Amino acid sequence: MTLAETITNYAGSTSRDASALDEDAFQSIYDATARPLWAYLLRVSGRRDMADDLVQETYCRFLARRDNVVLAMNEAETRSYLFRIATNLLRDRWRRGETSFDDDAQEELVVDVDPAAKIDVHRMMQALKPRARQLLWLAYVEGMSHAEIAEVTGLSALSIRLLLFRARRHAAVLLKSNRMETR
Amino acid sequence: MRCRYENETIRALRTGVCSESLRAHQKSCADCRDAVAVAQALRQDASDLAVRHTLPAAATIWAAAERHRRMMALARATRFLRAMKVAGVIYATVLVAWGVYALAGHGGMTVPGLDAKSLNATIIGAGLAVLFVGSGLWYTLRRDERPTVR
Repeated sequence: MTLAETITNYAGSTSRDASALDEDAFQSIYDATARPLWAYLLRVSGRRDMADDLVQETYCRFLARRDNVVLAMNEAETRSYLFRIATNLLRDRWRRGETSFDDDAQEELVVDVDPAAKIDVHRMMQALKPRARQLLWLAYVEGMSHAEIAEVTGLSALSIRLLLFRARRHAAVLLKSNRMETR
Repeated sequence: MRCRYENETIRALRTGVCSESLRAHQKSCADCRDAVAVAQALRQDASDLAVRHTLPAAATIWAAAERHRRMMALARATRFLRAMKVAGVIYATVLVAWGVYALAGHGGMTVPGLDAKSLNATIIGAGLAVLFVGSGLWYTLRRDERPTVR
């Protein structure tokens, strides 16, 4: 169901005003996409504060552009569009000279049920280049196709295949060496 | 360079449906084993993160976006007023220059269309125009500097 259809359904069934309908539709989109988006931003940027900021900014940008194109998007397109906004915002931050992987935030991020596994992933992501982190996350966690990744990152679909292969190979080497170190 | 079953392997990992032939292939393919190891580590990490973090409420984001939208609308609406402000400044400058020139003319120089009789009325008229235009612009474009109530 598209966002426009959701809004139309609400309009037909209740007497609430238009802004409330929009907010309800937004709530469902937010609930479905906010956590994956935050996890993506956190692991690609390596900074909790940046991930928090960018999640808010991404949705503000999304809501600022509530035109017919956005309203007609289905669930997958909306998700892809949100990831694209977030990726562009992240790139803007990097261009402005903001760094990735704040060491102060590291401790908080690695403490969990299995700390060793968490450290593996954190170290692996830290050692990878930003683009490799993006591609791996979008392909392996979000399950996006090469075409979808190309749309999100602004790279050509043909280059995604090769870049993803290199990123995966590098990540596998890092993961193995991290696991050997922690044993 | 790259195993052609890699996409299928990742899809199988996501869906949990893995055929016997694919399972047999994974045992003999280092690329697919690496892909599975990386994907499993990342997906486990993603699910841990999703559970642990508390995101701001959607209503908070919505309110922030509404504030941003209103500010943008206000900026668009005041664009005309800003143009009027510039025009007002130009108008006032020209008026003052003309007044100085006219007064100098009254002191000995000749100004076409302005004699001594009409000078007082002209100056009063110009003064009132400056007063009204200036106060109007000030009221419209002043910055609201009242302290915020917390």
